[in-house]
Amino acid sequence: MRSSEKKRDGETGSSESRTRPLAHSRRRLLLVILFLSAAIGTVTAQGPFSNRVPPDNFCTVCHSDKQVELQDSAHAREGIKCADCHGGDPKAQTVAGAHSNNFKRSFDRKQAVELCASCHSDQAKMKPYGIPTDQFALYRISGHGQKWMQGDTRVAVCGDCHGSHRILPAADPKSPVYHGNIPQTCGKCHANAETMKGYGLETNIVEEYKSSVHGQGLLERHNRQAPDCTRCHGTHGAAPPGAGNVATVCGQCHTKTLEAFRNSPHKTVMAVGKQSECASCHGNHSIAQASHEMWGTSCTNCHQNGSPEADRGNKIQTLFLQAETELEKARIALDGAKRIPLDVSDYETRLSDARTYLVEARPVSHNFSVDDVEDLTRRARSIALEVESEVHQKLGVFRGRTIVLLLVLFYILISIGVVTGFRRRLEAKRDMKLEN
Amino acid sequence: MAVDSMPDAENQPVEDASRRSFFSRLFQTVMGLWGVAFITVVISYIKAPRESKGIDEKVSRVGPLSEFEIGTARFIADERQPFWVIRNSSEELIALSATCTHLRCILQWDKGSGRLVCPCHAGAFDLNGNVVAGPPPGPLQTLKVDTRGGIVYVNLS
Amino acid sequence: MSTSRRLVGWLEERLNLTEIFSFFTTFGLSYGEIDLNKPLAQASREAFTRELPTYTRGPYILGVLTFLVFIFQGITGLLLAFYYQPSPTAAYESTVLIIRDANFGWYIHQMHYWGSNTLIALLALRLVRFFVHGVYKKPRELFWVFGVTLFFLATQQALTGSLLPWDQRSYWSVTRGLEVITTLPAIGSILSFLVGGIELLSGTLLRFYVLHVIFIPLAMVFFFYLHFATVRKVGLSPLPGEKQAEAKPLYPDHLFQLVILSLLLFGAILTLGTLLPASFSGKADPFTSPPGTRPPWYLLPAYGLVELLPHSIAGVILLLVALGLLTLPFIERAPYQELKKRPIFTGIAVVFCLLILVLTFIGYRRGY
Repeated sequence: MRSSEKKRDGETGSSESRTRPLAHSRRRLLLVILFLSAAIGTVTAQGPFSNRVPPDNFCTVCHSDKQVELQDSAHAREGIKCADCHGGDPKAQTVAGAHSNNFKRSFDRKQAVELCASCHSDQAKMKPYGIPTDQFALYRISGHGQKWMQGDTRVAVCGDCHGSHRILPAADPKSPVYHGNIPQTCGKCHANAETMKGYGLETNIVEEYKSSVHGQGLLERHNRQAPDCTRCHGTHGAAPPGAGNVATVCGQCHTKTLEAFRNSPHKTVMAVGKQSECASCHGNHSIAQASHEMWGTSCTNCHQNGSPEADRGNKIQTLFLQAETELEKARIALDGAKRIPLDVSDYETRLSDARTYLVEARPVSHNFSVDDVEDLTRRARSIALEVESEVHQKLGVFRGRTIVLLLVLFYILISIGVVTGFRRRLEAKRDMKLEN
Repeated sequence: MAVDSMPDAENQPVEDASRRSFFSRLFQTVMGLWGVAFITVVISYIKAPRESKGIDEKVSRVGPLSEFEIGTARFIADERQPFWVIRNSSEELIALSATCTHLRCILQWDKGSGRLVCPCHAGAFDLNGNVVAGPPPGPLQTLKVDTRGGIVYVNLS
Repeated sequence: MSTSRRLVGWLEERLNLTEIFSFFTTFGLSYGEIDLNKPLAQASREAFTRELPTYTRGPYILGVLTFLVFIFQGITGLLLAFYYQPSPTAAYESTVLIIRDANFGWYIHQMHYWGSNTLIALLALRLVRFFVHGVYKKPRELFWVFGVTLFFLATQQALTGSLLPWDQRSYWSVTRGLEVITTLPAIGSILSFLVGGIELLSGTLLRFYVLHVIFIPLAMVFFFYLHFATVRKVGLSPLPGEKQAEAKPLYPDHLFQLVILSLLLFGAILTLGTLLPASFSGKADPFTSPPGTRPPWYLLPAYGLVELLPHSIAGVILLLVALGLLTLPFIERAPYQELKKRPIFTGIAVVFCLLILVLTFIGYRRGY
């Protein structure tokens, strides 16, 4: 601009350029700028999801925050829209119109469950999705559901665990019912003293669980096989297992232990005394890694110190500890041999045989039969002893070889001496002959 | 050695001869020992080696008891010792060596008569291992059967 | 007349015993002339009393030791062959049988293993000595050529032999070794044709066995024989500065020195075998490559080169180096033996040795 003005230097001065209309090129630039801003504004002014306003769901124009929540959910994926739960007219473009037609803004805790159940218990509706329809039925027998039916409005309803708009599939790690997130979800209430006031339930459960071997497996090692709250308590039918059912629940995974326990004297006794079977020794939430030490301490929780039963526990403990010690010694011998190096692959196999017997003995020991435990631990110990003694023999062979080496080297030295001496004699004889 | 082909030139003084023969003998002994050692090593190496001390526990795994029908017999071709396992009833399991005591042929199970028969010379054994027919001179070895954890194991001898 | 003399007389009427005896001289024991027409007693006496430049003392022992190790390997190898079975299903098991169950089998196996390393080391040292002492000057160029050939043959012998136990470490280390060898331009493809492909399949083991037990030993015997033949013709080379190597009679000097050297060699190999036994790593699994496998130590420099450069270039370089080594006497033609009178090639040799060291180090590290 200025250059063009400069070119026409001799014409009207610069002081008059402010009142002049815009030069042609400047006008063109401004038009371009205006057009661009209009275009950008049109595109952006409607919010970040402006291209997602479905023509038949204008709810989202005002309620874009809910739209955001709904976006990722399984419902949105299947085409379920706001009006399917809330009623109203999604096509109306006025607020009054939109909020007509049985519009329900929000649901109380009784209505919410019935709303969810209206689809999720309908087998015809759920069939195409392959989702089971027993959730409501289970809920009615659950601890939550029982109270809900009596009108308690504080207990968990569907939305408390699953969310209301942002309902994600359980396999999605962002879902509150993803197996790794379940302790936290349950703990929202069950670890909160305020929320649990009046129900008479412990509120340190989540803490206990986190310190347990199950909790560490699930939360720290991300082991999918480790049980979360729902594995033992159930999902929709969540309730503590009854006194005679604890072993069955634990036995879902710990099958061999359950089998042994059913053959033990404890089964009938604990049923009669209404004692919690596994939990009475192992705890229910704060289940620590079981150890052989427990055999010495757990029995006396119920049995008298010095009673035949407590003695039995001590015997079993001794058997286990002996087997462990032998296995440890064999392991050390093997590691020493490997460093030599000696070929010890056979022995490794044998030692894992021994370890298998020992590991087998652990669930079997829940039938509290000293004979059975003894049978298995004896095999473990004898194999470990055999391995250890053979490895030591081999190490001894190695030492023997070094001695043989030294002897042979010594004899080599002697031989060299004799040969040299003999040769010198021969040479001397030859020199004498030459002289003569 | 070429020692013998050396010419005996002049007469050596007596002491020299005995010293020389001493050295010669010493030399021959020392070298002879090496030769003997070499031959011993070679021969003992070539001699077929003794069987490796089996570190295998002499137990053979047969299989789950639940898969073993009552009234059937199973032949286990264990390299160490082949054997037959017969399940007579729900509790009774009998294990017998499968090698005939006559000339070591492998026996077969005859379900009809409940015996182990030998195809080579028609020897037969009952379920206690006793000879009931044919030339076998002695009874069959009975092997001990263990059932642990629902799996049948047989202890080889 | 003693019995032995009568027996010799009886045989002498039917066989030319002197001719049979000359086999010993042909193979280096006494490398003078033997008159085949003389009776055995006379011919052998002459052979044993004739004075020969010493080949059992000083730097010359490298040669004699090499041959002794070769014979030793032959004996131990023959013993091992009594039990070894060259099929992938039985190779490992038969080796384990040798080591665990055969009497003295462990010793024989370890000594055979260390003997092979010793053979390669001795051949390499011998080449170094040949260079330092300028042995390969006219008319002894063939000393060097046969020496290099024997060295290469010995490395191939070791490579084929190390596959035979069919254990995990040796299987994979030979695979890496074959990678190196097959980079050679023409020879690589010939070799991979010989062994039936670059992958080590079951047929390969049998071929390696045949190579290891028959072909390469025969080739080595042939080259040993040629070497002794040329020594007989031109004599041992004098050390630089000396006129001629010192001369001593075969009996008692050389023979007894040979006995002493054999004993020392045996002691050395036994010591190595007892104190540094070859480790064993379980049966070869062609479908599991363990981490950290390197080619055998004698192929590490070549491996280092192959790792650094693209394979084709490395192969060409390796071939050129091999050819250069073989033809060194025809390239380096200074008529002097002393090192300092051959400065250029001494410099090249020093650089070459340094390169070998560096490449060995690189090859070692690359094989992590």
